[in-house]
Amino acid sequence: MVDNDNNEELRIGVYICHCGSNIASTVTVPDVVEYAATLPNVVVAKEHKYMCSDPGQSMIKQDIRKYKLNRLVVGACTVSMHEPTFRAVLADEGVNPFFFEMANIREHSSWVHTHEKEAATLKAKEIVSSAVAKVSFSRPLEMFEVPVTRRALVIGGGIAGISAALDLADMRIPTYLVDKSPSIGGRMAQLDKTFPTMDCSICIEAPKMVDVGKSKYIELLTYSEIKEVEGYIGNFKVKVERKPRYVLEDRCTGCGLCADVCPISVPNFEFEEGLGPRKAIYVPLVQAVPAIYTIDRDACIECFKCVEACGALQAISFYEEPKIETLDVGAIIVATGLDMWDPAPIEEYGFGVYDNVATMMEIERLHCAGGPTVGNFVRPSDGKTPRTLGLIQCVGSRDKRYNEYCSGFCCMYTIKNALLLKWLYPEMDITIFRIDIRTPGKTYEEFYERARQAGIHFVQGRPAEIREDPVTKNLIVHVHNAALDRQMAYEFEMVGLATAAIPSAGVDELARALTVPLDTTGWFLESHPKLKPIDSSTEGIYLAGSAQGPKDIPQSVAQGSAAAGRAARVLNAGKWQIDPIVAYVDPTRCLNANPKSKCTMCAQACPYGAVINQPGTGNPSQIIPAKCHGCGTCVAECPANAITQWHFTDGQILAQVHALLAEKPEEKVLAFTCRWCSGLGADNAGVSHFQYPANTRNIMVMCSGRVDPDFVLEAFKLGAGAVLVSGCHVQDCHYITGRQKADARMEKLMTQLERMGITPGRFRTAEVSATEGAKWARIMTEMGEMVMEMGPEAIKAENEKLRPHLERQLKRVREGLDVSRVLDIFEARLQGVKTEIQQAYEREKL
Amino acid sequence: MVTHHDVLTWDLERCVGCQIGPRVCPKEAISHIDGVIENGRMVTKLLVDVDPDKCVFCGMCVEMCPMRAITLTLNGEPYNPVIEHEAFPKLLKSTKFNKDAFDFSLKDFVIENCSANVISYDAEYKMMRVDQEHCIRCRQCEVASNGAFEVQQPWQGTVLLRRELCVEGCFACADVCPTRALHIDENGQLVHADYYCIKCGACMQICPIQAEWEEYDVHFESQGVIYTRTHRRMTNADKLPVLVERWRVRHTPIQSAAWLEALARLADDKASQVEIDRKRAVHRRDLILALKGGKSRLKDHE
Repeated sequence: MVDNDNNEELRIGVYICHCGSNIASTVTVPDVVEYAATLPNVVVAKEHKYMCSDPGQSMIKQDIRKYKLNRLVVGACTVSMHEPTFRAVLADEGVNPFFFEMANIREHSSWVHTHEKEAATLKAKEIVSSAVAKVSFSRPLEMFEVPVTRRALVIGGGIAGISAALDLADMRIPTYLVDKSPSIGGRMAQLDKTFPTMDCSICIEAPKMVDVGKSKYIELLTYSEIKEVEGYIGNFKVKVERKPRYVLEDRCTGCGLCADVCPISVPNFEFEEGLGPRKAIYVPLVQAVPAIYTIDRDACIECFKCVEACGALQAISFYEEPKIETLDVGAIIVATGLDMWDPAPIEEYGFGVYDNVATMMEIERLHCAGGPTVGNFVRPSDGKTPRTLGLIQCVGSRDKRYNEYCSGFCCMYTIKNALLLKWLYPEMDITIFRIDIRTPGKTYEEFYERARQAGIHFVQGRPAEIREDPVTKNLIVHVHNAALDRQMAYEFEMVGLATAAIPSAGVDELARALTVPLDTTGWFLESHPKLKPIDSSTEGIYLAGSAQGPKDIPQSVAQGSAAAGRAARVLNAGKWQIDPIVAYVDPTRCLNANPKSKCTMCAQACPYGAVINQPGTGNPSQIIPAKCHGCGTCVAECPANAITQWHFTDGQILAQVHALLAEKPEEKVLAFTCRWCSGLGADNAGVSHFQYPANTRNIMVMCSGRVDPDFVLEAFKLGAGAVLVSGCHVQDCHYITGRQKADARMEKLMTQLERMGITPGRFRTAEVSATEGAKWARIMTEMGEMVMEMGPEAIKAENEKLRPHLERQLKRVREGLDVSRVLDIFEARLQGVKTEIQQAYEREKL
Repeated sequence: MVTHHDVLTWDLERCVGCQIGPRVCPKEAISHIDGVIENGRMVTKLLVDVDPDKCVFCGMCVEMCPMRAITLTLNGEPYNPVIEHEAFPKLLKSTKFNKDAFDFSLKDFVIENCSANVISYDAEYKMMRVDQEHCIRCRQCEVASNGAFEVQQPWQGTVLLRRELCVEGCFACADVCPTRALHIDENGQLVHADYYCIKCGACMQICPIQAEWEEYDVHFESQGVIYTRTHRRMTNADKLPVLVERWRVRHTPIQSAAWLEALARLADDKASQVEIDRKRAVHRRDLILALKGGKSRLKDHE
């Protein structure tokens, strides 16, 4: 059959992977191969134990030559895993790499229907058939090559950000290092000693901070915040707000005369956890880089004594205003770090109520020689050194009420603080209350052993309550001692809480600006938890240190360097290839070709301003490919069906709908998922082996904004049991507003369908994020069971009733590019295929 | 803060609700609480509330309080940061006692007469002692002792009492007046004895006829850029039964924008302008002296 633009004969090769036993143990692969061979235009169908292996790949390569294949379908795992691998195979053989489709029969079939072998095999067949249908209508596409700006941006000046910036500078890549506070250094600068070596923290970090300050390749933008990020890999435009310091950076020498004369002392929350004072004109720590003072206008009484003290330097300007700077960079490293959780919500521990209940960070500052007490460890109520100290672990972490995750490093830093205090005050009696002690690191367990030998007590049990003795201000800790299985009360002169690590304040806005998703607990989400732990799901943006999850110092340093490496890979390439999956306006169909038209739908739909929309001029709309991110929202919005998205044309998607609903459609649930959240969520369900019914089928688009109501209507017209449109949570949308547009559109569709008389629940929308595999499985189970409960007869009857409405609604569906061709072919085939299937069934029966 | 305990104590017994504190506060940390008048007499005086989150413990209100009701301590010791760092002047005020000129038979009368209860008799040295820290400089002792006490008041100004504008039968201001300058005479008339008045303005605050203010923008140029600040002025000065205008304050020489700002808030633009003009005049005089080869007086002065 000849049905592509070049009138070239379609020769499709289908290859099914066993993935060891991952697929083969559930799906009967030979059956799928046999079935695939019968599909239209399939020239060859084969299987292999590991298709991604070298032998697997060379088998495909040989076949391409031997059978003159011009389309390739591989039934294996998820697109995010091996799509690049097989595209490269095609490219090697001189075939356009976009003539490839992945059929995900692992995450979407074998792993989630482990106990339904037959149904899983049937599903695998249909997934392959859907991929064959889609690839039949593929067009050759060329990758865009974009120039790369050889500059990097590192967000966050903690140890991870510093490591990344220094490594980039060593590669002579000009780097901006942005920090929201007046000095770089981050959390590490606040620590006294580091475990397990007991190195002085600031002593080993300060030289690196100074190196950053001195490097001619690093431009420091402290006291600044990221406001807007535009662009794409290689070509980001970042707007940074420089908050006014009221001290001119080029004039201040950091002499400190101004702070001497300043009358106002306020608590230093930036660095000393509010335990020590700082002046209204200040540097947060003596080792600050840059050593430039900042005026805290909230505390300043405007006496201008500092202006007088500064004298001829004239570095102080009270009239400074926030400035916006625009940076052009090729890659971005996010190293925003962590904050410590405020334990005040745990009322039973009395933090903020009892004087002598402190957080571990406060304890850290109290025994630090550079801290507010110059290393004299005292308790806040009376300024005396406590003789007994209780340290409580897992405050706000591993706690279902607050943060379920383990912060990872608190065991170690609690032990470190205990050991340090034991060295400083051998008489001090220190008890650590723990759930478990976690020491997964080089020489960490030995460090724990050292603490036990030093005489620090470890009590297993999470304290239920702390009470204060109002006279002595001592604290009584009530705990169930698990070892003794007894309720016990301990009296301490001071109590420290090892609070959970939480994502740094303000990451929500930053994530939105970067369009990088956060996970359910608020940390930045990596592209793949095992294989791409440094990459975010946006190309050109990398994650380092605690931005991605709580980390200790060596991990942060390693990640900083790793991120620098990932970024340099792009920055040193000169040019970078990006996917050509962009939208295209058919000028002859665009309403604006008529000067009377005032259509602005596409421009409104586009979150990136990629549409040149000139209503009333007679110029049809145009899309700037370099600005288009390829979400496809405008395609679905276009009232004239004039826009299409390459690689996801209406025709291709409808071909998939037809292929998946060819047999027993009334028993099936058809789900449209976006590429990033729900698509990855469905993959996550697969990786986690969450089971759900096998009567479910997926079609992946780039964004839920791409889902045209016509697809849903067509699915129902074909007799689908139920349809789901699933995307990101609104705030996480990979394309900023795609999900929002989809929501509005789907709500309208929902009303329409309800009016037609559809049973509620047969059409649903959902928000599933990349980490919500369990939620995906739950929704699939609900819908799958609902369809089964309702029964095929009831659904068929309802669909017959809907049919006239649907046909009326779908009158214009053929107008889109490719669509009419696709539908003609499918409808023509329908009869033939149906009889063929009938014959096949009969043959089997015989 | 473990090493730095600032404590601001507001003695509400002494406070008369003059609202100088809230006015002078650069952080707007002090809010006022309305007083209550019933049947023309004061039931509760105006009071204040300090927001500890906004207070930066600068000490301006401490120095400016005419009733000496506020104390600030650092780690238990009295400490005033703005005075210590010369960001604020000390108000020039004193109460001197001339032992030789005093008729000691009047001692009980003088002690009785003191409106702030700060005078006591030291039997050992046969001396009258004044608690300088809490003296409000009302000059009652000066009159009662026939001039043996000599009081220097920091504030100068005028108080205009217009009984015809009063609310019928209201004597609330006489109730609040800390110095008995505003009092009810034998005829039941409200009178003002200006000599005792310390220009605190508590009378104006309790008065049922309140001053109305309008805000206006003042433009000024600095470093080549024009800036705008909002000042305020009274709009119903002619309708107030009692009007206190402060137009001069005696203080140690100082160079501080915070002080000028405080002055502008307490008096009006005129007062701070006078202050600046005075400085300019001194500088001009210095310059002329220097040109003649003379010595700078400003430096001597400071």
